[in-house]
Amino acid sequence: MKNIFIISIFLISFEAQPCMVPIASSTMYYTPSALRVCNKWYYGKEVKSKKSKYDPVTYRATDRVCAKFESEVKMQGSGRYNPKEIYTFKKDVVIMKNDDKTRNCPTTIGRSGECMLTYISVAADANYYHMGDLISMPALKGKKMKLPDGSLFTHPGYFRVDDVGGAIDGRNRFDFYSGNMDLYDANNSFGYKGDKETTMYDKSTCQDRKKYQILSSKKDKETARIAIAAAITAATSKMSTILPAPIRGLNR
Amino acid sequence: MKLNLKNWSVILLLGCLPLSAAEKTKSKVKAVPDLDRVWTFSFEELNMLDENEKSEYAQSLVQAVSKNKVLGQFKEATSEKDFKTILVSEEKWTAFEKKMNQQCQDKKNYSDCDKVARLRVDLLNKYSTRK
Repeated sequence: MKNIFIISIFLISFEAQPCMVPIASSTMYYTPSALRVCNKWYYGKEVKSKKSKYDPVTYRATDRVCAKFESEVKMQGSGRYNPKEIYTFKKDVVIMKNDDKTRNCPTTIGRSGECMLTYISVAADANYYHMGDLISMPALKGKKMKLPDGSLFTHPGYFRVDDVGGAIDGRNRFDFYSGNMDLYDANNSFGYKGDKETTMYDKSTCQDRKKYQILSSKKDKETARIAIAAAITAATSKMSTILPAPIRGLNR
Repeated sequence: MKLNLKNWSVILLLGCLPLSAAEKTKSKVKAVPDLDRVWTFSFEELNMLDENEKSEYAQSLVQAVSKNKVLGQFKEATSEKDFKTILVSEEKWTAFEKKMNQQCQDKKNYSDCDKVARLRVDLLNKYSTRK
């Protein structure tokens, strides 16, 4: 009993230190999808503005989303309201994004302005990275990652910095993007149920497999871009995609 | 189970050791900050900003430059109108970026340049959909 008490005090006072460069202190994040979380897409209702009879503007009254989706969006930053729209909170105000980019991107748009790629996009500290920077993590090359529909995606061993985040702090701190698969999703290779060689949710595990390198030469960057494109094409040609499954083939 | 004074001191000692170790590490990190950082946007990054964001950046950079002697070396950013012509030209921007890296990184003007580096980071974080 006394020993347990001592150990618990020891553990309470222990503070997990981030990994040392060049090992990534990794966590993962995702884009909640209303279809997966609430079992339905939301569309809202188009309502005529009553401001003035000369005002032809119509506006949308958004549907009340399910509580779980709302809380997950608050936690993650944004979520999929329907296949064409992204639902975001800014200071508790709902912002709906529905531009060309959003409509053509089944995940979400990162701060880089690019469509976020499952297992490829990462959020990093803007103090050290430009959006669009490429990172190599050789130990992940060739690893089979599960897609939302259960099929496999062969990882090219490269990541692209597509996003920033207030809590992503430090040169070796990365937040890995897992599409619309949450931490507990059985198919999320970065999550709790992922393989030991691919999980990324625990920032305190500083293993050699998380060694990374920032690509600086034009040649290396081009090689990385080609490898990423090839991995995506291979996954797509197997009738699967690295994009969230429920969105595929759904047109409003 | 009986806990006497001796046992309590052992418990307290064990409890405090990792805390002090963590504090030491923290202070070490603060003493030697990682200064090899990004000082401004790359041209690619600049192009992903919308007009309002570019305008906000230009305005705040010009303001920061006018208030600081070291940053005052960036003559290109003394007027918002002139600076906006740099924002749209890759050649001019690359030259400005290079100058900023020299002034901030090579000449070790870290604390002065921190202000302009922060403008970029704050802008990126402000309009990010990620928390």
